[in-house]
Amino acid sequence: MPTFTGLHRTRQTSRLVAFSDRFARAAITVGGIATIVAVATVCLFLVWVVLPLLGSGDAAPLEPVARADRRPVLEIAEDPYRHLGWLLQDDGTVVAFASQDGTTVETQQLFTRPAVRCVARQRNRVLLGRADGKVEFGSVEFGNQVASSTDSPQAQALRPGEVLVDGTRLFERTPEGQWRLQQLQLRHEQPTPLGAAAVEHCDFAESANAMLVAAVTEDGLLHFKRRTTRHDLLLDEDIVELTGASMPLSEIVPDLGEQKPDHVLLTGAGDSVFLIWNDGRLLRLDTRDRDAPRLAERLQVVPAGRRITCVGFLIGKTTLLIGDDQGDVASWFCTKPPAADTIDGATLVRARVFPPASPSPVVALHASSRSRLFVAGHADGRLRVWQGTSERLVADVRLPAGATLVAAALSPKDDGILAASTSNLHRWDLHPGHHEVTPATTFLPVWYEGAVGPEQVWQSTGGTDDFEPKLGLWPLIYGTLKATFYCLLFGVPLALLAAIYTSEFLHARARARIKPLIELMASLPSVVLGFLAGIVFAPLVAEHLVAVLLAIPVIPFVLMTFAQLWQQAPPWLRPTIERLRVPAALLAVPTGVYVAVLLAPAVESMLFAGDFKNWLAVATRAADDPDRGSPFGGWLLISTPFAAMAAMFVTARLASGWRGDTANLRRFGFGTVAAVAIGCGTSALLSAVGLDLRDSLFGTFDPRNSLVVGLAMGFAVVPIIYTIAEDALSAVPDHLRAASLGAGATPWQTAVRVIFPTAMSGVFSAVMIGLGRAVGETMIVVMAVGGTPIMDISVFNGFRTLSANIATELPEAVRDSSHYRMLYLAALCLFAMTFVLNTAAEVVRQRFRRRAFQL
Amino acid sequence: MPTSAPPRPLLRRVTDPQQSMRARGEPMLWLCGGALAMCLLMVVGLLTFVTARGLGTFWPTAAVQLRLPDGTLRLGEITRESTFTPSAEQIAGLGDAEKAVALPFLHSRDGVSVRHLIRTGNTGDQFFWVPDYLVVEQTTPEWALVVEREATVDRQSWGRFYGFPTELRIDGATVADTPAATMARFAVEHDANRARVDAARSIRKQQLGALSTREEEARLYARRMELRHGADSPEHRAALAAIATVAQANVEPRERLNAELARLEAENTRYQMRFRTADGTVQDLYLADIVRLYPANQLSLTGKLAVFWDRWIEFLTAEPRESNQEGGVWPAIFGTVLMTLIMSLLVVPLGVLAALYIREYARAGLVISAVRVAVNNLAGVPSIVFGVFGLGFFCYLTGGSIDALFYPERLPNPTFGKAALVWASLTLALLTLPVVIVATEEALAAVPSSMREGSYACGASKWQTIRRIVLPRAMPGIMTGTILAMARGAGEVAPLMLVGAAKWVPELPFDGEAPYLHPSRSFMHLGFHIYDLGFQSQNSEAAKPMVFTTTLLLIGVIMVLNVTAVFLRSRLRRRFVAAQF
Repeated sequence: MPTFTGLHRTRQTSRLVAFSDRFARAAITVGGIATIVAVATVCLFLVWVVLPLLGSGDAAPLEPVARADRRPVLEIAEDPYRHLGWLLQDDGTVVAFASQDGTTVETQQLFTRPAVRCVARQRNRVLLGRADGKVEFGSVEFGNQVASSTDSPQAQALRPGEVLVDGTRLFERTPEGQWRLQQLQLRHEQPTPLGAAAVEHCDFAESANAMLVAAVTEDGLLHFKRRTTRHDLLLDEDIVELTGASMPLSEIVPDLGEQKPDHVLLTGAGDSVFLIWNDGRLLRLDTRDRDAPRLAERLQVVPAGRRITCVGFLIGKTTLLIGDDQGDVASWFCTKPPAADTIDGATLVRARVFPPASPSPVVALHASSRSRLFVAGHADGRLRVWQGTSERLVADVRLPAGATLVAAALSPKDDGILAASTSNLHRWDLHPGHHEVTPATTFLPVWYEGAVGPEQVWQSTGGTDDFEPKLGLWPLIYGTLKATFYCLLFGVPLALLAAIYTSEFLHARARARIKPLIELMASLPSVVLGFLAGIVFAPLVAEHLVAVLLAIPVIPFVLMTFAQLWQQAPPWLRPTIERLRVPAALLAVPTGVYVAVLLAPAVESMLFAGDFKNWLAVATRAADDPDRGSPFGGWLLISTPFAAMAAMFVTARLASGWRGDTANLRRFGFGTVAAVAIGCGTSALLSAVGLDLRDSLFGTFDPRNSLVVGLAMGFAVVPIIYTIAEDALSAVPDHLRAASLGAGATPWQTAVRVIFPTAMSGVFSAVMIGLGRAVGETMIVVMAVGGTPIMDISVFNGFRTLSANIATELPEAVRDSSHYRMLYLAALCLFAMTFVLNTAAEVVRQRFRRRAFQL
Repeated sequence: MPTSAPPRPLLRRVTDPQQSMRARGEPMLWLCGGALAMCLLMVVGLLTFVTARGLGTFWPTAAVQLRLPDGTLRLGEITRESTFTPSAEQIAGLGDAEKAVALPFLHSRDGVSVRHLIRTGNTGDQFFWVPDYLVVEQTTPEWALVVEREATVDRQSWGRFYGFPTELRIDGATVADTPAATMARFAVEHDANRARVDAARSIRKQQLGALSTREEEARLYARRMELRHGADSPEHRAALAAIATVAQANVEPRERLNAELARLEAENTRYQMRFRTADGTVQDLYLADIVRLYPANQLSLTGKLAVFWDRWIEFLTAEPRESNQEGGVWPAIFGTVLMTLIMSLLVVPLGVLAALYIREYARAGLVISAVRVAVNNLAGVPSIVFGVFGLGFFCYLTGGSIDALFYPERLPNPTFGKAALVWASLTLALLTLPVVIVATEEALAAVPSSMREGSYACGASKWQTIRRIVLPRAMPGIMTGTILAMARGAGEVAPLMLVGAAKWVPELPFDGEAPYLHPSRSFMHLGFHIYDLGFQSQNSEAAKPMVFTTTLLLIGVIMVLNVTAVFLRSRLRRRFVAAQF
């Protein structure tokens, strides 16, 4: 083969070399790509964990089984393990059936007709209203106990997970290998008299230490009673007594007439009784005073022309569900708006409407006993499972054609739907998914139970069982932005000014020493900064609050004063003292601090009514309190920078013609006076108008506040912005500098008009990267603010950021729960925020590089 | 251009001072200079503050005795002071005797008072604020002793103790009855007592621990056999029998060790030191519970230095005690170092591979620029996000799968499916990967292509060139990147809160027990220790000094790493400058 040089290869590449070359190529390629893939995994994994939040619930139908008889059904329920169910039929019989095949396991009589007129049920407790004017408490449940294997010979052969019905008992071998025995148990208490006439409607609520009963009897009396049990020593038995009010309804509601309500409902807290008529009228009685129920308000709860067909409560018995004959289910709860004109300050409002698939009366409503799910059964055989807060339609199933729905319920663990039609029993396996979370509940205001209106709240854990987690991310995002804002307000000017000075005015040798020193600050662990901020800095700021606030305008002012004096140095001295500017500034900064501390007591007594923190706590004071203080001081504090700018403008206009050796000093003096005058004038004007910053920017003082975090995070962010900005400024080619200086510009003009604009994109990316760091900073926020997730802009209040929230809550979150996934969503938000910032920085930086290359 | 325009003067002298000032920007220069000065003050101030507080913690201070107006005496160490103006309510709340002392005092000081936080110890670890207007007399008694004691087993008393030695008792009999003699006798007996405490601890932890471990292993083996072969299978029955055998075999050694423990403890209860406290009560302390004691007001400079040194040694080498508020941070140092080492072992090869691929093998194009953007982006992702990822991916997913596959017998107790050393190292490796990739890439780019071409010209293959020419040249740069990554990893705490660091762990992740390195254990970490002590501890006042020292230590470690990196970087630059000519 002819080659370019005409020579032929005489020696072969050693096989080992060739092999190792190929091997290395393969290994490096695989390793390299794998590493990069690993990096991509981070984002993908977060998405993978978050995605199930979006998934909807679903329900899978199980084979319907025939009912033993076709009597109307009042109540239906299932045991937590979904092996047994029971039906309460119209004639008072309780039929326990095996869920699997519908065979009747046992039938017992809970009550007989016509002795019992009405039934109320809550979980496994029932209240029977009797024709003889008595009420009777009882319970229907599956007794659930650990059995031994000898209780039933057949049960011994069960394998874990298997179930066996033996007579009236159901045996189950649990996955752990134990035997569980379930059997229907009915319990009755002694009937207790309410009044003479038959009880037509009754309801009850379990309060902290007693049972409350509300009932309406045939003679038009409303009974609101508290059940107490006392032990009679003589008879050695518990005596149940009912105490409380019995009043004619017509006395509470004078214009009521003879009509008796169709439904009587009692809230869980026992503070209201609802009397509801099927034509949509609702009366709410205030029963906070147990002995004297009073009419609180009257409402029309369904549109004219519709009729109520079904009512119920969500978990906690606070939110009322009202189903009408068009199939709408509306949820109502009491709120306490400031302008309520009812006697108890509360008003019942309609929060949500859950529409049907097609208009068809609601015939069954049943709320879950562990979450805010409920199932609404419609006459056309549709069953819709809703989440009462997020309005998510968790499942939408229907009975086979021809079946008429008579009762429906959710399983105790929210893992099944159970329904009875006239002839059959129907079951579905329910996977509710993360029903309390939707994109809307995450990012938009949500109207939580009892709240006056929609609001954004993050509150993931609570004390009680029926506590509803409130997982709105906005307060956390808001906190993150707030922290970033205050941090950058302090950090960006400081870092950029320092970078300009270092790159343009500092001697090369000094720069070589100073820059690594500040870079060293970048490597300080944030836990150290957080610790110092929390333990040292926060108490210091709390103690010298006014001095700290004063230092913000005073330090620049002192520097300006030094500059004016410097200016007076004779020209021959200037080259010599040029290098001493930074040492002199090192002196000026503490001087400024000292001046601020000196001035603080005077300023505090003059502007802030003697005590700044008291002055801030304006919300706790009456409007005519003499200690209230005037908003003037706050406005003055805020307006200082603007006043200074305005004063510069005025001075340039009015005093530019001044001549003489001391003209600059005089001009400075004039500017200072002008600034003070403008500041005071504006502040006086604004306070006279009645504007007060103390409701917004200056909230009540919390020792762990945004000011402290802003300063502490400034520590973390300054070195990063400083280093990158300084690099960008130093990277501007020297010939630009030389050309500018050669054309007669001063070093300052060169820096501001030539170097800074050229390096602008680099500086921008520095700020973006600083921003990215501030957004994700965790330890400083955790340690220095801790923080309640509130949304206000006050400098003196805390907040909670996404990162701090993750760090404090994730270790306690149950794996794969909604809370856990929401925290992953918070991490994903952080990821997205920093991704945008960093990509912006990167793009701008690439442009900068290209441009710098052209120069 | 209009020709009628007058010619511009060639030179224009600036005479207007206003214009000259604006042009030279002196005030703005001062603002810039001031900003720089502030940055410098911040760095230097912070470092000085931490150093001063950290170093000062272990320096023995005087034990002062304060007499209050009602005659009570308080003996203790002054930990800090602050100036305040007592409010009218505070003064109104004083008793008559107190008012008699306080009012004239306050009057002479214009109502301003200094209050001291005095650590009086004795029952628990107590602190009191004492305003100076309530101090009738302040003395430094000659024989006031500062005693650092360990918690007794029943946790009845712990923390510092301040008192006057009266006698030393052995078996209830007084063997020394003057302070000086007591101290002398204490010096003689103390070491033997502490040696017995150490011996007992070692028996409890190692020998008795080994017995329990053996039983636990037998139980786990049986469970594994049950899972693998089914209950009541021959293997399972054999394993169950083995449990009984092990338990049987352990009975005798356990009894022997318990007897030995009882003997050591009985011996230790013989030695007691009797103290009189400031309020006059008499209290006996076992010598065995006393870690260190010194007559604070008699110490010479060398004596103070000795205490100072001793405390530092304890701090660096001992385990923490009294819920981390006293003792040392050795497990935290060890955990930090070990975690950082494992992390660098993981991150350096991967980072270098990735950088080699990007720089030497991959073809330039859209993909590679996208990868660069991704890597740069990753450098900016908040560390807590990595923690979240680590918890879900490593601990729960990977660890959970490992448990299900290899340790089913331990379930539901997780082995790897929880916070662990290996997961922490992996998470931090991912976090620091961009640092290494970027540094290595820069170092590879800095190798002149002429050298590569020269190598190819000599007939070397690509891999040979990389291995013999490129990598050695880039080595210092890679080292710099590694060290920077280590510094970043050592200081990161937020992800560790999720994936591995614990408040207190009984065992180090590396010990003499096979397989020596225990990657599934959680570990203590200096940074997490700071967070925990500073913000989770119950007695924050007592914990404070420890936090400062730990902070100093952590900053020290990180500074050393960074300075090394900076030094390497500058050496590298010099070498390249030399290489170009």
